Amino acid sequence: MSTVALQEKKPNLWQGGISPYGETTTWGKLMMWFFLLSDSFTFGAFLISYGTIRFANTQDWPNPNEVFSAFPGLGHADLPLVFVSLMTFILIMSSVTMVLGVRAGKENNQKGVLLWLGLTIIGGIMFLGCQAWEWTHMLTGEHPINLAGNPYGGPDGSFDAHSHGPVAFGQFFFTITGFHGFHVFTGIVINIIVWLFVLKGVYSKSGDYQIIENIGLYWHFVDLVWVFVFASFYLLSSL
Amino acid sequence: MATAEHKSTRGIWIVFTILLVVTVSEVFLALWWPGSWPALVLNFIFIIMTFTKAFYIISEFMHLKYEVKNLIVSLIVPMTLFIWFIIAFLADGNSWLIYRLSVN
Repeated sequence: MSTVALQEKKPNLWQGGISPYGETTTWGKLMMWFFLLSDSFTFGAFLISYGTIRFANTQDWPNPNEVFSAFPGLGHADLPLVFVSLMTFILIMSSVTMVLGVRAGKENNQKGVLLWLGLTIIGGIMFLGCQAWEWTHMLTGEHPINLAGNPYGGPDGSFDAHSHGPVAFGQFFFTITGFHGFHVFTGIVINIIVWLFVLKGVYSKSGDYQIIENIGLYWHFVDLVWVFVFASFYLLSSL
Repeated sequence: MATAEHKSTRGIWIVFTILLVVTVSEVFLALWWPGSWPALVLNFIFIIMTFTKAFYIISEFMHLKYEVKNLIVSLIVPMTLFIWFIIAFLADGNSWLIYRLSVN
């Protein structure tokens, strides 16, 4: 008797008739999670191959404190890592506004979603703008870092106009930050499309703001990847 | 209503503060780490801090902490492949380094 009652209370999630992921996990959310799982392996492969090349490298790796020491409008001011910290702050902030947007969606609050999702879009555009400036600065400087060359070949990865550092540095930097930037770009495009749908009141009519949570997951993933890109390129030093 | 809302957004701002503080300390360490101290320790601290940030983003921002256990397990189990992935490829890079140094 008691076991039957127990079974009725807690149905076995693996015996069919009911989703093993419960009612809170919708189809769209589950598929977004599985997409992000596969995407994390794509980024993981990039970053791990970057690690492999760094391990196999016999030269000193470019010192990030020297490579990334410029700030827009400040000429030759030596401000190591300050600009990238600003970029990181912008991305974390846009993640916070996205969480608040998802929350507003759960409360069926159309104005709240428009406000917070709008701020997330602005944050994403600001981040991309920063990245565009950083790339331009690196590619068009007097001693550019690009796919074919890298002037940071001195001792401890310092700048040396007469020697060449590992070429792989620029190749990995532009590939990985470019792939991340492309994710930010697609995130912005998707966010803008959903924002317009919210403006038209599509989800207010159906009463289902689930899509905000799904695109929110994608946006947080972009932030998550940046945490690892930031560590790999700007923090981890040569042994 | 206002207090309930205030309570529910508190967790978000706590995570935001954690992420900000960890990032600022990372930059601080990167700039003022004494050159005479082993870089291995510094890199180890950076990796710990990076995973701390990842944990808070996934659990709070991506809300995974509050999801059904089956979903969490379905995502964590494939992730363990990364353990092999990282060890195998970094070992490969290291063996290349040893080979290159022996050839030169």
